[in-house]
Amino acid sequence: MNYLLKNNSKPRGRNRRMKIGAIALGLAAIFLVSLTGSFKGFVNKIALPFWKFDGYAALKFSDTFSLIGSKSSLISDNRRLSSELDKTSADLSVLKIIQKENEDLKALLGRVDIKKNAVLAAVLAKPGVSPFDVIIIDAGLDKGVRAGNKVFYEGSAVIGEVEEAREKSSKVKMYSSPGEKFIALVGDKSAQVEAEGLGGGNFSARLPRGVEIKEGDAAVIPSISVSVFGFVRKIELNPSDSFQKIFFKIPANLSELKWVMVEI
Amino acid sequence: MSTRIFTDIFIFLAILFLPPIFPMVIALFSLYYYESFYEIIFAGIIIDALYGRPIANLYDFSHLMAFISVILFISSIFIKKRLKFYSDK
Repeated sequence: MNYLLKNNSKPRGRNRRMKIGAIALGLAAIFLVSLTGSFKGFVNKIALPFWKFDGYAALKFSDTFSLIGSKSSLISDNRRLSSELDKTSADLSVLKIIQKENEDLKALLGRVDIKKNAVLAAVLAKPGVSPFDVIIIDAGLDKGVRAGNKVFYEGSAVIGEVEEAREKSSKVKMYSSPGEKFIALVGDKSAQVEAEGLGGGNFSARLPRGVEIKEGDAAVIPSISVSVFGFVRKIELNPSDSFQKIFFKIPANLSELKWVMVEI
Repeated sequence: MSTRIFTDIFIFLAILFLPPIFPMVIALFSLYYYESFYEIIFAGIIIDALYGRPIANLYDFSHLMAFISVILFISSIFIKKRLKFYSDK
């Protein structure tokens, strides 16, 4: 004998809707919790010992491997020396700017340059690992770091500012993050431009063709103290465009960033 | 079960130490391999908690990875139902 199957489509549909509703509620709850600062602090507390161990292990292993294999040591020496050369040439350019500023300041009698304190911080996570062009440093509220403090590489190149300061670490927003816009002064004539971050330590800016800019010119912060954003690496000229596009890069290799200074 | 815990730990460590492509690939593979790999949502939330910041190009939206992971998780449920070869697993 054949029997018709019981039609139970309605309860099943209701169950399904309830399931979906429960999942959506659960996800919303997770999102709400993740928005809180205490959750971020908690996750950061878990991650901190791992990052610190990574830095420690990297230091130990780099010392061990330097004794083995001449070829690899030569390559690393070469890299180190070329990065030092980059830094020295960057410092030289900064020196020129400082000399000019010094001359200008001498003309203004009674002007006193305010010196600020700085904290040295180790970089725990850099843009190669972090997906949003941020760096995590090991100095936080305990060292006097606050949100908005400027972060420098090698003392003179400003690379970003502290976005979130936690108890023992801080998140630094890079000026070169994609979409970030700020005002910079470029070239010998200090032409004011609106620079836009392109990610990976690169910036672009547009300015009229008449303004004289050459490769190697510095882009600085419009401020009394000299802080360099980067140096012009490429200039794009289009005959049909009355503007020129310049690309500049911070004087540091972000993937090799180890230490930074935080101005407090 | 132990494989799954190992995968979770590996994803967490990959978030901390490896370029973003590594945890993404492992999470995508796990999403296919395990029946409902909800850990991908937690991975997205952890990435946002550690590295997330308002993205200027996305109207200052700061939970991009969590959002992407939720989308991936939900779409994986529907995609798996429609995959002929997935039922053979």
